[in-house]
Amino acid sequence: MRKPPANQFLDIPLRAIFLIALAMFATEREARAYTDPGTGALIWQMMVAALVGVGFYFRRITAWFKKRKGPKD
Amino acid sequence: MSEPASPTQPIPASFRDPAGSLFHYQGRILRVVNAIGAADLEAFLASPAGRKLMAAGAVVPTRALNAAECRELLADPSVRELYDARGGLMILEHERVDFPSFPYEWNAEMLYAAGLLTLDLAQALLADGLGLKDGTPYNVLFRGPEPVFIDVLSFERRQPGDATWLPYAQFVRTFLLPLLANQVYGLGLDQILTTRRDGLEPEEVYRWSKPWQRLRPPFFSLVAMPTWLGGKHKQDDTSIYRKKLLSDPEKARYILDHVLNGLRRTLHRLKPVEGKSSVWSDYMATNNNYTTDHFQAKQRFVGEALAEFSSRSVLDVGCNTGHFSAIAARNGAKVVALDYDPVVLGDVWRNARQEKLEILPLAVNLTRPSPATGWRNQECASFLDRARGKFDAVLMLAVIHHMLVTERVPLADIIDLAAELTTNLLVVEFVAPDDSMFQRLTRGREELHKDLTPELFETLCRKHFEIVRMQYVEGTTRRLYLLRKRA
Repeated sequence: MRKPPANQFLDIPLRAIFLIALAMFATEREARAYTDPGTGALIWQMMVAALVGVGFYFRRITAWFKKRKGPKD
Repeated sequence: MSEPASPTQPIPASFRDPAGSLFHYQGRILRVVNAIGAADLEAFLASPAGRKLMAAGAVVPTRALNAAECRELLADPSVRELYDARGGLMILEHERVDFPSFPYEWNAEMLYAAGLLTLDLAQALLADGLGLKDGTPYNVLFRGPEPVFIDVLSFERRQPGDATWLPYAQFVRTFLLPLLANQVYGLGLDQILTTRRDGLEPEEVYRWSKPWQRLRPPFFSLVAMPTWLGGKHKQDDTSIYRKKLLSDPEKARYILDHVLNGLRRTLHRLKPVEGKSSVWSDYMATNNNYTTDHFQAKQRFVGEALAEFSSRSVLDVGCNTGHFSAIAARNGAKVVALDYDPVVLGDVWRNARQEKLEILPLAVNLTRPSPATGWRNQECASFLDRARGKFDAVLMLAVIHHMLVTERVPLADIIDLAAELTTNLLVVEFVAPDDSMFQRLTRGREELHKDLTPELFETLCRKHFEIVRMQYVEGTTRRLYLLRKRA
């Protein structure tokens, strides 16, 4: 069985979302009765995906810099 | 006169699936696949990951029947009728799983293991461009203590730029939220899942949770955010359901891996803890009325009975720690072990897995067994419909007095039911009303059981069984019987 992977820098976007959400909770209201139960989870997944997508480019940029510096001989 | 039963028996559990239908045919499990499912299925069967997963037993071994085999089957009009009605293109044969069980009969450990298997498959298939259409525990059955993925029509080819895992919400509803409610609120999976096909909605758990809980993981991402975002979303806006493809497949794959790893971390956080205790977890150690010698004599009696009649399939009713289930399994039997305490069953499951014993622990109370559930009460058969006549030995050790006193089931009815369940042996322990444990249970209702004597017990047993042998254990208040069903 695979071990759960360690929290990588996904943690950083999650923390950002957490802080944004804290602010959002100030305007919190009751969930509507006929809300599609999949809607909220789908939007949440998209929000996480958007932030992870930013991380993807961030990783590319750092990889490019590392490559340019080159290994020390 | 009634018509003879058709050899083709559709399995109602698959009736929702637009891509195909399962059916029993002369002891085989077959599946008609139509145009909707054929291409995805063939891609799965041909993929290296698919072959590897089937060989490892993670996915039920499945093969597409060749033209000659299909012709032979379709010569039977009942198969032809089903095949044509469902627009069949191919027929599959699956390896049989001995005893189907449903999530509301599992303990939390088993739901966790089924969830882990689902994520393992989703991630293993990504490398071959495949994915899962859905993420529900109904795709999984158990062979002994091991989960096996059975719904091969759940696999699909993924578009390379697709970064969304569509079963995400269903996985949360059917695996993560029930585990969370079990861990935090102590709700049993039977309480959560018997009446809910699609698990718990985040909104439901939101109402149960305290404000401070909602801000903490995993409530925050599983409960609070989906509830809050769903509530804010305009219901007429369907744009979020439209498939969005990224131009960079590498980025899509990167995002998908993160989403699945996130679910894996959350699942791990909800892993049931070992060493929990319940009323029944120390029962064997503290409440059993045996001295060591007598307990060993009891073990010998059971072991010898099962060996003598080479029992292959055993039902252990009220298994507690699974001590006697393990004896049966070590004798080479496949065992279904029942107890209504899911906490002790967690230990039974862990031990069986560790020792690689064919024991399937199920949280079922035989005096209130799981009902038939779902559409027309046919999607999931009742426990008794699955169990009747499926066992060549039934063990009822130190359990009958609980059924008699606590559940108030008359003795004759208990023996009648045992005779329906077993095809051959019943190993049963009779506990007389003057036994100290019996008296502890009656709590002043001794009058109700004053006529209960060993003679009455034997008379009732003789209606269905012959008494092979009897042995006293621990004085004269407890007797072990080996009974054999009359032809």
